[in-house]
Amino acid sequence: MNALCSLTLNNLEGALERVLGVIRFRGFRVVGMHASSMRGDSALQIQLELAGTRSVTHLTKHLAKLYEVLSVQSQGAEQGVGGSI
Amino acid sequence: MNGAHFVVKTLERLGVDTVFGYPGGAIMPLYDALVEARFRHILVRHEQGAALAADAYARASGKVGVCLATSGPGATNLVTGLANAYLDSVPVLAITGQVPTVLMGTDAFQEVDVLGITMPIVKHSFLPRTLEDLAWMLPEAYELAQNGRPGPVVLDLPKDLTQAIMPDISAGPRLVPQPNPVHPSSLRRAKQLFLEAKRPLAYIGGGVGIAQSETNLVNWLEHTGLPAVTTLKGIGSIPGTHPQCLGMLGMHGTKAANYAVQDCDLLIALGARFDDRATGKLKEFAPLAKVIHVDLDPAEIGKLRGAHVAYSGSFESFFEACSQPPAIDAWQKQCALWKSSNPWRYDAPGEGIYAPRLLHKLSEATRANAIVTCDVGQHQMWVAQHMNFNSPRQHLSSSGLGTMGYGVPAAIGAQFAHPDRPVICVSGDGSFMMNVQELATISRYKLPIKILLLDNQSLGLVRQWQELFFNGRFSEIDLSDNPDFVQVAESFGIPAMRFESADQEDLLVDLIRHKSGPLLIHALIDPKANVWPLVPPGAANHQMMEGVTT
Ligand SMILES: Cc1ncc(C[n+]2csc(CCOP(=O)(O)OP(=O)(O)O)c2C)c(N)n1
Repeated sequence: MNALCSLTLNNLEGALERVLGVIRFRGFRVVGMHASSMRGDSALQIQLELAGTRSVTHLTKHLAKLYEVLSVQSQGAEQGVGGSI
Repeated sequence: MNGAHFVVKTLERLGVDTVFGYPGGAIMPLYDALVEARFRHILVRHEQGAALAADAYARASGKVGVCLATSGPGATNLVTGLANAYLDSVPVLAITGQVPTVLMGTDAFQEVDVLGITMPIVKHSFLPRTLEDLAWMLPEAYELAQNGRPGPVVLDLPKDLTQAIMPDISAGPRLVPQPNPVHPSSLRRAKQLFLEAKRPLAYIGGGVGIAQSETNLVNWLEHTGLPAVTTLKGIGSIPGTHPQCLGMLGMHGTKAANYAVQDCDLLIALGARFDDRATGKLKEFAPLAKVIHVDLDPAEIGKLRGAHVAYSGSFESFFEACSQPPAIDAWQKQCALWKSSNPWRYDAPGEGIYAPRLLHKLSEATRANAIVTCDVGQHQMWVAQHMNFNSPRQHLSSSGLGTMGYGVPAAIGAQFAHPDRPVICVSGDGSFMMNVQELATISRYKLPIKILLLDNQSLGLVRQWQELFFNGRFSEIDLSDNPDFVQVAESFGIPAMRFESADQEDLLVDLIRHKSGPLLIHALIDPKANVWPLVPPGAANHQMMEGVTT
């Protein structure tokens, strides 16, 4: 099930690596990616297409917790174990 | 002032009074600056000991625990301790030396990618490349560790920065803790569910203690009359002896707690995360219940079990919204009946020391006043079951990671946090050997820690699982060739005694309470003793197995 995820990052050392690590650990694969610099090169805007069967909401909440993440929005079918009722 | 002095001064300014660490090449300038520091440095004997002691210091004191290590092997030795703090949400700041910036990325001597290695087990990691970076990253790292949901933060510090002269840089704005948002609509829905419930139950996790909300929790429980169960980390948030406390739920939980969870119609999860050890078979966990989930971290909500009401505000605002006592007399009676009809039994036959009884006696004798640290295994579960605690900061147990070797360094951290309180480490013969070198730290600093080593000559919890779930095929659990633990302790300058019979249990408890200075009690227990009850893997919580006590 593919999901779209759009992030704005404070482009600190390791920021993208950290985002990708969370995506892998929370059960998704990157199948498409577009990134561009913002505000000189201090911020990074990324659109990701993700494949995975876990909860996109759950992934999004974890991405939002990252220190460098300024904003994150995702859309995709909800497949997770949990979710709000 | 060089960068190293700046680090020391900043830690002083932040109120740090104790750091645990071990020196080496890349962090030598910082160790040089430590000579003049106004806080104390505790030299451990392995960096894992430093990280775990810092973790326990933080848990016991409610402050940030700080540890130091050099680059390469020093930093990699911290990893288990950082993961331990991460999974239990403990505020720890780890400062690691790194090779000079010009050598970074060249596979220099003792260079490893600390930022990369620790990334998934820290809340965040900082790598200052300039002194300007260092000026804001250090205070930020410290604040971040304790801000919101706490956790470990790494500052990987290149050696050249610590040697360079620090220009006059202002430290920049401090991280301002965000107040918890209040969502009135969630609270309205929570209140409605609360008033409709006939069988509500509070499910208390470690988050309550982290938020230091346990007094308000108990007031709320007493006001509303709700029965409560706790997770391993929630133990102590409501005193174990409180009439409304049904005990720990889950795999080695009490029958009363597990029955109540299975039968409740409203489960109020307070700072709990539906861990698999607590829930058993998730699909059959609290099958009749609607769920209100209160947690500061929105990522915990709905992760494993959907919530009818999710609330990421403070516990206090939730308590206030749900303060009208519901009419639940029949349910309260039922819970009390489950509790009274399933008491722990301490009448084990046999002449040997019975660990549950011994721990219960110890708990009664100390009137739940001691700080108890545990290692991991059967003894850890017996502590959780048979000892009572009045505060979560008294029961220091590696819950999320289950780190064998936690107990002894944790006792060191706890004793430094509370020099005047009794600290007892309950360990197993397997776990004890994992950080046995820290006996030297106990000895060096003359810490009056009492170690109760429950020796079943095996990796007991693994042996129990092999007996029950692998048809009794025992594989690599035998520790009958353990060293002589009394001699081991004595060789570190720690008095030690061996006990093996039931009629010595009272004497042993007396020694732990009254002997001054450090002491190791080597208690031989039945190698075949198991932890009961037990929810088998894949089973629902009410399907507990109960074995025979020999
Ligand atoms: C570092 C580490 N390695 C392995 C394990 C797996 N493990 C869990 S309990 C246990 C046995 C513990 O033995 P001991 O400390 O003697 O305690 P007992 O169960 O006998 O009380 C093992 C090996 C672990 N939790 N931590």
